[in-house]
Amino acid sequence: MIQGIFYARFFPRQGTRIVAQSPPGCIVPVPGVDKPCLFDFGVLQEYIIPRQAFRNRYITVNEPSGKYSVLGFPVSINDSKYDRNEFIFNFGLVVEAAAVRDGGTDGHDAGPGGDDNDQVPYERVVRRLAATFAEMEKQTGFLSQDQSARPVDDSDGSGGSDSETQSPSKARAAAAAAVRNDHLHNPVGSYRRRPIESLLEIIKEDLNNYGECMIPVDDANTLNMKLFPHHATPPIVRGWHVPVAKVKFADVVDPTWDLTLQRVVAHVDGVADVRRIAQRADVSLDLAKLALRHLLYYDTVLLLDIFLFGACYAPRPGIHDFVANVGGMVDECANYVCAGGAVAVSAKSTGADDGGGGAEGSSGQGASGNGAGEEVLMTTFCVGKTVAEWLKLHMDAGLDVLRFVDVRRLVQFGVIKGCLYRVHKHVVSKQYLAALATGQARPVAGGDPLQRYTDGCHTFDQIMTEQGLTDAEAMEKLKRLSASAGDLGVIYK
Amino acid sequence: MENRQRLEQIDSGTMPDATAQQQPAKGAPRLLLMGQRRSGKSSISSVVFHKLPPNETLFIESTARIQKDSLSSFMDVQIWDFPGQIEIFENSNVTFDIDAIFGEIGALIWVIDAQDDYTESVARLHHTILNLQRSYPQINIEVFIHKVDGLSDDYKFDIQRNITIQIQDELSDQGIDNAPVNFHLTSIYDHSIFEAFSKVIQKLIPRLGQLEAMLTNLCRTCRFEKAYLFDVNTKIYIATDNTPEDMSSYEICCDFVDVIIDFTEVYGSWPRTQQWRDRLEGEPWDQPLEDQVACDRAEAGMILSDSQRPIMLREVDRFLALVAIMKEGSYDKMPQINMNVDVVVKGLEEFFRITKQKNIVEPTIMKGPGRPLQGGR
Amino acid sequence: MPSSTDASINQAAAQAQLKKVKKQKVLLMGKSGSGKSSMRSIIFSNYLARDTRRLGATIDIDLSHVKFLGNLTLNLWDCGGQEAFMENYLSQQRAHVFSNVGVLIYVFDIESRDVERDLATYVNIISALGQYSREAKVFVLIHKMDLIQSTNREAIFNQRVAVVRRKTAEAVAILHKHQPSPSSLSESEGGIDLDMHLFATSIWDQSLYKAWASIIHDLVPNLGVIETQLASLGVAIDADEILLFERTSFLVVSRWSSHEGDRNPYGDRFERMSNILKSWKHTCSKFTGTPRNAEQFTEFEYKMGPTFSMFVTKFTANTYILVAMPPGEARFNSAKLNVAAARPWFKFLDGPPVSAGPPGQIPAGLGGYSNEMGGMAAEA
Repeated sequence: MIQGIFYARFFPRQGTRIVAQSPPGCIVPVPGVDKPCLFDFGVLQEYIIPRQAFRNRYITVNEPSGKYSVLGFPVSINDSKYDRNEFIFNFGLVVEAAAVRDGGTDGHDAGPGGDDNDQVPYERVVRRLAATFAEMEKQTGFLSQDQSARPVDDSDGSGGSDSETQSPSKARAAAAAAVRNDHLHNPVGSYRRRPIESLLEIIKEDLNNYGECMIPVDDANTLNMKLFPHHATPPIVRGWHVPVAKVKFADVVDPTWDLTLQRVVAHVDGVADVRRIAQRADVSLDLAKLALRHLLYYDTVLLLDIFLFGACYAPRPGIHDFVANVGGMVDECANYVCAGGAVAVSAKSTGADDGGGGAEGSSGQGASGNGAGEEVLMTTFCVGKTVAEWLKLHMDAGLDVLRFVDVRRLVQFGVIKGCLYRVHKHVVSKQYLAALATGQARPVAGGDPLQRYTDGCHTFDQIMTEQGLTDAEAMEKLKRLSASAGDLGVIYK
Repeated sequence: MENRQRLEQIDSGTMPDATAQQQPAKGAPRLLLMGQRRSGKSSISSVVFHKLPPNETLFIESTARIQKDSLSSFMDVQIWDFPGQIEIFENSNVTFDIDAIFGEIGALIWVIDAQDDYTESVARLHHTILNLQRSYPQINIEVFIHKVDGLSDDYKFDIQRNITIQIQDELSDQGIDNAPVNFHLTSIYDHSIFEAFSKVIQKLIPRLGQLEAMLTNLCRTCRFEKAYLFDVNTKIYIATDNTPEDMSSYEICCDFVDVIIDFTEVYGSWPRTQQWRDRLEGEPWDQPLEDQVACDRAEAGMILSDSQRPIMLREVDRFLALVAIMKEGSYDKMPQINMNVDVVVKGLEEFFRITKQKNIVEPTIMKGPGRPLQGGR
Repeated sequence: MPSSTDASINQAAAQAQLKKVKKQKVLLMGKSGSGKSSMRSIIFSNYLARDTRRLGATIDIDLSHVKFLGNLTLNLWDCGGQEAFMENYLSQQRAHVFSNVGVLIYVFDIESRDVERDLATYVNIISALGQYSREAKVFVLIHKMDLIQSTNREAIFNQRVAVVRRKTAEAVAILHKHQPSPSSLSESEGGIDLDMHLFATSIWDQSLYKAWASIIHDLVPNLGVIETQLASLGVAIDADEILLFERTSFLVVSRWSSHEGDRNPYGDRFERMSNILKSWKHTCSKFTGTPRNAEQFTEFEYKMGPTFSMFVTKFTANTYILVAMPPGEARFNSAKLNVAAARPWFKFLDGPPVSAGPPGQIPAGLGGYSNEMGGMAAEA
């Protein structure tokens, strides 16, 4: 949310002054406005028109109380035509400082795009203002020729003999009139220009309310700006990743979407890996990956691994939250993973009520039937135990896991919530590594297609998807690959 | 200030007879400064002949009458500064004695303001050349494209090319080829004006070739990089050796002369007391000061830190000084070099005694302090 | 030849009192565009006068530490003169700016159209200075004198001097009324006495060097020692005048003249020599293509027949020395040798003294018996 916007200029005689501001009186007081200024301009002025080294770059500065940040881009244009050889100005924004708003209580007033107090979207606005006006100044002297450009606080006290600075408080009204007159009397050669003050006001209002603005500055120039939310660059999508939708695509997708995206989205089911999605959607793998990266950028999907009964999972520190049932995680899990629909859910909920205490007291051993509790299931994953083995363990213990729980969903829930992590399987060939180290072999060298996977940098998931093999087939082929016994090792990590 | 008063004393150009009487000698060459109003003629003559600092030329008022200066140096030169508004060839009210003006002229200097619209000036120049070509085809016409300070190199050369082509085209349209017209880019804020004047003056020197040969010979025997014979008062160089022209070595030599002139003024232009002299000539020296010195003329030398190149200066006569940039490391050989320079200086003196029959300058032994090598102001 | 024993005893005593490194806060103030940064660039950064046209405005305060000789550091506060900054110095930054000031240099633009207002600002500055640094020296430079026609310069300068003095006196009087001196001495003092000097300056001539040499003069540590030793050297080598220049700025640090040298009618010769040598340095730099602040020449000698001789030479690491002396080949050569021999005695100019004093004496006797030496030097 833009709290204030201003145009500051360095005057060879008066120094750094505000020429225009919106809302009035937000930076320096003006007659008729009682509201206090957002900050003390005198304190920050050396950052608004800074010395040479800091000019022509994006500068943010927090005012001393830490409530607001001033975002600016001081521009200096060097030309001997200017008094003192330079024209220095800065179009700046005042926004809430990043640190103070952690509660998110004011979240509702953030404009579109400006998710919260993120200043990143405003940087583009500030840069655009600087670039546009710098260019206009270079081409037509837009700013320096502006006769109305006077410091807003040039009060009587400083009204010297210089005719340029004579008019004090009514500068703005006079300026507006001057512009109008100028236009009337001199229709040829003068173009209609908006006073900068009103320009600033429109920019501020439009950006705050609509997140974008499109303002003609004069006959030739328009300021087009939009607040783009900032997201980090999404990670690379691999063929063996499994995208899981975070939103109901069916509800949001519309025919104007990219065609590839539409086809890819239709096959995101939380089970299929990217490669399979590409095949099913009849889209090239690279395009499918690209489409999914877009979805990732907008945070509408997340990436998991392929679920296999032969894969291992192990707990992460996040398991503590699950055990402690932070934020009702266990219930959430129950809703998500229970097989058999409503019956199971109700069974679960009752089980959770009385089984919760029981699980704690009897350490889950005696828990049976629907009172098993996901805690038990979740905590028994460990390194070196495949899902199949884990399943067998519980079946043997008399818990018919498959009847109550969708194991895939359970695992996915664990992974998504940070309770579990996938223990990946890598294969390493000592010979191959030695050859690589001495430069005898190269990763691209011909020969067995599986050999290049044996440097320990590739997971089995990758081998399986890329080579179209099952886990067992891959294992078998790898065994055949090795010449000497004991050369190959499998690493879980 | 004295200079300006001197300028004002000089009489009007409408009385050429009066000036004829003033001329120190018949046959003294004359330089005519002409050009549009405000093209910078008076500034040029003030800076070159009266050592006015360039930034003070702002205060010079525009010239209303012909102003005449005479430069008495190794040869006497008159400089006539024509006000821009006087049309010599088209003025029906006042008839100029054309012959008095152009009869003994050495060169006509036409000043064009490069920072202004020069169309009219070029047209007038063309007109003047045509008139002169009829009766005085031997007059050198030197065009100073002036006030080029602050202009980019490209722009300067563009202007020069434009003007050159215009003049030549129009002259050849009139059937005049090979008119002696030369072009110089000048500014009073650097050395270009002095260099341009040097070129103009050199053309007026009889037997310049011989002078140059002497300097060339000196450079070869003493391994000098470059040697100049300066007219000390104006910093015009009247001869140099035959190595290629080099503006930067001219500049440093010019400034060296300036420094020496200043030193001379501050420490050499006032009389010392008799006690001072008595003390110095008494114990343990016991000889007159004149005999204590190795060289009775001004001699100076300095060494540049960079590459240890020395620069030396030796007074030749009242007006002239020899300045040379030496090769690095030759400072150790100064005694031999000094002997060679002595010989050349004697030769130069001889040269001027022979070529200058009328105004014989007595060989300059500096008796009274401060007479020679003294600054203009 | 006088005996050098007395002189060397004096020197030993003087050397013993050599002081440590000194830091001086120098405020450079005045209205915007009055030429503060320009003169600073010319004096300390080897700018040519015409280069200063390209300078931009100074934003806020430009702090620089200028090392002057070995044991003086000038903390030069070049204060941007725009109204907004001035208000700031006088209000928010008042104590920060005006405390511990050694020297205030206030620059007036002679061309200014609003003299009244300039003076009002000046009075405010003087008041602030009196409040926080009453010991500070004040130098007022009436600048851009080149814009006044030379015939009127003196009159206009005198007129301005009178006004500034009056305003200063007024400011001091008010200050004294509002802030009576806490000590009982105040009555006898009769007010805060301001140590003030005025100069007419222009970046286009030597006047700038005169003003700055005067500013620097009192700041140079161990001035007494320098003067004593310079005098000993002058007597020993039979010189008429000796000038000692700081290496970068070519400001005259100290000078000595013989009886005869004092008769020199050119009272402005010291700043004139600064100006000549500095512009000579620029000429050399242009010719050699080496940077302006690099050392440009080591030796410069000029013998004007039987009238006088002089030489300028690199002396200590931070200084150049100019010696003007009577004519005579032998005298000249021995003087050069003696100046070289005297270098160790001036080593303290390059930094704080290491021990009480260098061993040995100035070989002053050399001057008297060096006909042979002179001959040898000429042949060598």
